[in-house]
Amino acid sequence: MSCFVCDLVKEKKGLLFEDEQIAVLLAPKPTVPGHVLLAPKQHAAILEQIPDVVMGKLLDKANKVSIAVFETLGAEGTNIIAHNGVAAGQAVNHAVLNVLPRRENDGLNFAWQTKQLSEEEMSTIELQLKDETKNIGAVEKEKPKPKELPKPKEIKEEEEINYLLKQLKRIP
Amino acid sequence: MEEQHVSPEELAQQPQQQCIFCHIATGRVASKKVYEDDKVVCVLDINPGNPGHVLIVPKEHYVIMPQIPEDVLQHIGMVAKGISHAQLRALKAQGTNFFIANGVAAGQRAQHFMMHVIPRMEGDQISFGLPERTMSPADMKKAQQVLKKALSKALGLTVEEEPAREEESQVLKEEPEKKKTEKKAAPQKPRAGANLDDIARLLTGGRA
Repeated sequence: MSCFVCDLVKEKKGLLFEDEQIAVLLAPKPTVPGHVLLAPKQHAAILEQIPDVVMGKLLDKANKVSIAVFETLGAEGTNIIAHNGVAAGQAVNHAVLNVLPRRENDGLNFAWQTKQLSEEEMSTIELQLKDETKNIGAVEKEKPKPKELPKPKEIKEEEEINYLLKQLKRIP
Repeated sequence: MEEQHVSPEELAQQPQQQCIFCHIATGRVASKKVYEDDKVVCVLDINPGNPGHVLIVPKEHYVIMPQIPEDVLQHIGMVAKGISHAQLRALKAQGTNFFIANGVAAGQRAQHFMMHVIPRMEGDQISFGLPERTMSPADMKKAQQVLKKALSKALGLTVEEEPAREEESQVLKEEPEKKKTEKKAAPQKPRAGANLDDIARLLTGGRA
């Protein structure tokens, strides 16, 4: 399956930086001049599929891109935006971070209308979210645990059985 | 990075004492915390774009993003992914947006860096739409050259190749020594100290 972003990375079109995990590219159709995309090289359709470590590095590199555009393009600010899911405005099926150089009166406005929630609603949401955030960073810590210890034994047993079976077959 | 903290110590501490997000981080101001660890605190935005709108706030006082050390930023990225995941699961959100406003021109209002993670629903009237424009291939190439160089510098990589290639044929014997010294010097340069201070000053409106 072809992916617009994967193709860009492969062709190195507008490539600004790459390492083993991350590619930094000029947006082929920029919202403002100097609009930069940061993408994980491993295809990830949604943000959730990006490993924690890579996600961290993406944000760190986005900051470096910010610094670069401050210095060279005379930007007065930057926005870093990610769209995760179609409902959030994700347009390509490869998760990316956008870095947008900003200037006063550049015609862009990402301000949102705020919503009023009751104290009760806020508390409910707080509890709901708290329950799910317990696992933040947990996956990372569990990774190094070796789980392969039981396997060799099983294989040996199977081999032994096979060996015995073969012997049985030989007898007649 | 540390230099920016230490040098104007008094200046740095004044805004901290008045910074509401520093107070939130330490718990002196009440907030609805959905996650906390040694580096960040995640609170519900009291003026949410959508129910469940979370602010990821570093506990240390940083005005703008370039002041934040690498490890803290990487940590924030990891936490943002976790918050997004929590919103999708717990609030049945259909999507999420990450949003960072860096500088007044980008819509930053508070004098304390933060990252927004906003749960999204179809037709919720919020838009982070990025209108597409076409740029001429020549302009793109120019932008690529300029940014590639600046990014390499920001990443602490040695700036290489393209101008050197042209010179090589002519000045092969003399150049190498000079270049080596240049390369060594490059990473030691403080990262755009002056520019970042300017931006920080813009943000504080000269108050600090």
